[in-house]
Amino acid sequence: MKNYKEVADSVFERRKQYEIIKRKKTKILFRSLTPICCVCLIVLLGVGTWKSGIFTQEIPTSQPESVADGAESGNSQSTDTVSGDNSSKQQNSSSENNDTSNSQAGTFDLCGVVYYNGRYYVQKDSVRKECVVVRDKKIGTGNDFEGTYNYECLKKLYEEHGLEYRSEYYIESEIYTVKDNPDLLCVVLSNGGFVVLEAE
Amino acid sequence: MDNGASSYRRFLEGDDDGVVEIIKDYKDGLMLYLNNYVQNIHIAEDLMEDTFVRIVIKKPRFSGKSNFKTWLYAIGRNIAVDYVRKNAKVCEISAEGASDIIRDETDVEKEYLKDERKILLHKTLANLNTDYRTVIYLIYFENFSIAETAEIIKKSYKQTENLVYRAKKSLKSQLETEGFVYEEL
Repeated sequence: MKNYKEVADSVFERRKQYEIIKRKKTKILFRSLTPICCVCLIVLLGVGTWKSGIFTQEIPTSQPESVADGAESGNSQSTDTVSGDNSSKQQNSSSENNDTSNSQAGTFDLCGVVYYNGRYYVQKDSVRKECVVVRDKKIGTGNDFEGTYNYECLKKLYEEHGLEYRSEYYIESEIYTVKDNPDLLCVVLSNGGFVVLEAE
Repeated sequence: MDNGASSYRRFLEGDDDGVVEIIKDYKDGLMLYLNNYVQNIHIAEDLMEDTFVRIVIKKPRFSGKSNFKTWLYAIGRNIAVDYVRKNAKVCEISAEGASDIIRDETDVEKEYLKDERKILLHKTLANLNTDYRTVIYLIYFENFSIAETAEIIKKSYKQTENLVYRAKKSLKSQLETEGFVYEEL
């Protein structure tokens, strides 16, 4: 049996041990808290950046968009690399054609269409990335065919939709056949853009 | 007499001697009280120490509504009840250990009670159930009132009163069986 002094000593010793353990735990807690906070911060930053849409933005292709000059001579062949992104970009530039700023009131998105040889050639998303288009012969300008590259047709289309048509919406264009592929047409716009149309 | 309240206040103000005084005054009584729950004087000693450790580490607030001793015994009871609950299924005592325990317990009792009749009574008490043993110990050995006892064992006044009545009756019958006559019971 312990006397009261031994009990008191034992009690104070246990208090000392408890305080040492408590101090250690606090130390460990703070030590582990720092990397946990860092990880949380990184995760938050990552989520924030992801949500801001930086990673989901469309990256414009680095491929040249211009069509080789030789194509205009009719006999030479040029190779253009068309990507899906490019195509969609052209879709805007051709269909809105015509409409440089989509934010303007009274405009709408148009899909490029040309009526040629009894078939409708339509701008499609199916023209995939890295699709190689070899331009062949010039078959005329946009105004020579029915479709969205025709000034009168475009104007009529706007009027049918009850929208005001402005002359600056129209962009002059030249239409070419595509070598070895009668189902495709290539539209070269005067603003430097081009669109590939596919027969339906 | 403030029964240790001033010592505890001194301890809270930073004087460790306050706790030493409390340990000196209440160590044996608390240990014997806790022995009623665990029936092992060594475990009761550990629990008594745990009670003082809890006071020293946690520094619980003593409001002064009750006697300091009542408050201290209530803390000790909580610790003992927790212990009994945790170790309800464990009961390992070797033959040698058991004889040591009995000898130690008798020594402490002798020193604390210093009365042969009380010692005999205390031994008879050991045969009663825990609740009876506890209330009789608190009321007749530690001189707590029924209200204070009720506070320590966390029962109502009426329940405690009934418990004391039944405990006395049970003790009386046991003492009579052993041929012991105690007028006060």
